[in-house]
Amino acid sequence: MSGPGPSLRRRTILGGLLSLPLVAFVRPESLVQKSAEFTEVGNSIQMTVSLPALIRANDQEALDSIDSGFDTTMEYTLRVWEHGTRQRVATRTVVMKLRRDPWKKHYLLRTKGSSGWSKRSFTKRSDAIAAAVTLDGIKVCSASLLTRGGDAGPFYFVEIVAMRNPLRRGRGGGRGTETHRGQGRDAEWFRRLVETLAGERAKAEKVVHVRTNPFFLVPR
Amino acid sequence: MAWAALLGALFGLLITNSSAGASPWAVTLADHDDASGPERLDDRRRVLLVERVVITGREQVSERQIMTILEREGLVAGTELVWPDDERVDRVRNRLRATGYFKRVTLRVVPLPDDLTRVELSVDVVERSTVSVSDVYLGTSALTPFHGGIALAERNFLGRGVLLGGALVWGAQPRIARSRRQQAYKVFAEAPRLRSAPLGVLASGWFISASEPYRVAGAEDDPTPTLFQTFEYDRIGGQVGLSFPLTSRLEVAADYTFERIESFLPANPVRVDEAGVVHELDLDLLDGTHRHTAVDFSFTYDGRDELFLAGKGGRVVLDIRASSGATGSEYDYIKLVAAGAYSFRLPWRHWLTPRASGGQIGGRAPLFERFYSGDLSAWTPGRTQGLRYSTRNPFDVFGTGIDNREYGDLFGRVDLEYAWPLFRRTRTRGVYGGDLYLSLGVFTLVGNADERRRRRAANEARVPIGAAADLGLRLDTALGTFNVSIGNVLRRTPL
Repeated sequence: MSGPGPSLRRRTILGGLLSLPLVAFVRPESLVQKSAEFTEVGNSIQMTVSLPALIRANDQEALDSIDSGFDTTMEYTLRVWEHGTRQRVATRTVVMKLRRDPWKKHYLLRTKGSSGWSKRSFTKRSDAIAAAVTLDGIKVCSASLLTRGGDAGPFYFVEIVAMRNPLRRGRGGGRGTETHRGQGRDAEWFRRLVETLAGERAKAEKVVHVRTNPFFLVPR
Repeated sequence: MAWAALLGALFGLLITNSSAGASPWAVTLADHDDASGPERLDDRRRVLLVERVVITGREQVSERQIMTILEREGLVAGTELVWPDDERVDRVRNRLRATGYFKRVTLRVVPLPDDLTRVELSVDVVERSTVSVSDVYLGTSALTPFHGGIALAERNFLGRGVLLGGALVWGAQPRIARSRRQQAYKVFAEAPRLRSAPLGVLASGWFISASEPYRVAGAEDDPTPTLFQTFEYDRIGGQVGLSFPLTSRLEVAADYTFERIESFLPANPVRVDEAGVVHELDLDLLDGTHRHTAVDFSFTYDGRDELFLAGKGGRVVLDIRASSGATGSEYDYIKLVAAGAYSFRLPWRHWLTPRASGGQIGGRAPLFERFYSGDLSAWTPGRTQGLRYSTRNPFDVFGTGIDNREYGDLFGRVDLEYAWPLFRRTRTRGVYGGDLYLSLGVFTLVGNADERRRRRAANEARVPIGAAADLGLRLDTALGTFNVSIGNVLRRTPL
């Protein structure tokens, strides 16, 4: 070997190593897998999956929100991907709103689907919650968008981003800037002022981000 | 549609007993406004009259602070509320959360007995601690076997949004003969806003007892304490200031600093280098009891809200400090420091933040105002509350002689940070979020004119370059932000 070969290889390996963690997080396949059932009804692919982590029985914040008399919103974003590729086939959002009616003392769950809002009523909170965290026979995409290849593939899966009470942020809190100038103006102060700029902020009271098991369409 | 109406009426009768046992689909209805009967699935909007507002769970936060937010949205006693989805309810909840005072905020509608239109609006809050740990000082070095301390801040003192804080640090006896323990105490209070006026005020006070090491022998990069002696000085002083928000993002501030310094300098301090040449030392401090005062003007541009709305944003700070006889000081100098950072959100939701900072001093500033190499390096102990607990200089990664530098009048530093958000949550038992970060950068520190001449004569680099890199975990907790990083470990250990 001579010339630029080894150095190029080193650079390639180094680049590969550095980008490995990024690639791992970019791919939706790397998400935690959640078991789901898929059925084909007409031209629709329907999915049934339950995400109990969105409202746990001991989650006091969630329970208070549901019992408050105002809506607790569950927003499910469903993305259908072709397994092994980065090709997104379809995206859908399903919104559910759950609240307790303090006059009638029952729970009302409303689901916004393609044909408008549908409603279900429950007398027990646990049943209402179970329904609110379950996507039962929800259409994820049209079958015509997928290729029929049987167990030879292609395979598809659904990425689910479930948010409880998504947070809508406005601009500025109107509280003024806490500059902590009183701590002194040393190098540490300057560093802190410009340090923790970046970083995620919570998008919702609770976020569950999973993917389903792969599925395929049987040939006709 | 007729079929749907018929089905709706039939299902309406079933709903009374719909509960756990029943299939949820068995009670699913299409949206029918014409459904009737007491058990119909009624989700039509209703106008309710708020009879009273009740706040529960409040401990530190004042009722006035919560009521101010409710009043801004018009959710007070006597007003009407559109149930069940009045937008103001969400806005109030988000505004209360944005104060940072609460772990949990729930707005609840409580019907009054035998009344379908009048309700009590209950605001149930669970407060989070408003006390934060700004810094934990803990370390050991070849010079000082142990030093430790803490900096705390209360962000909502007396429920008035006043920031009240303090810091203390204490060090063991340095390993230098005739030296003394170093310690510092500081308190400060800052009101970012005086009620609704566009004005903030600041006041702080401190006492610092220093035993500053200075080299008397050996190579300039040798941190062995026996090559150093110390001189003592005490500082007692304070600062008062005002800040004015020009816009929601731009703030200007003016501060006045005053302190009394009592120093005990050695007579004719000298350093003997490895070749046996004797160098006279300037310890950059006046001897005896004297005054140091200064006026500061600072400009802070804070575009961080853009960061979370648009995925990019920055913050820039410029600070100018002037000290002269005109301000009542016995020192004459001007000090300029600027720092800025801009964050970008990458398509895969990680963050990239280039940062730059720099500063220059003109005139003769006291030692503690000069730039120190340890403050610039991620791997070397910096000053703690103005005290130097180590004699170690930065690692000379590039072989440019940065390990020979202690103090300077000019510095520059650039970094690039890559942050990988690991998790974020609103409700927690202590940790709100965590980011893994990697930063790479370089810095330089340049001495005063005398030092530059000396370096030039010795054929040494006048502008040495040092490396600044760090890898660690940044945790956002109920008590503040903590970095667990390689640099943090290196700075606190006696290498």
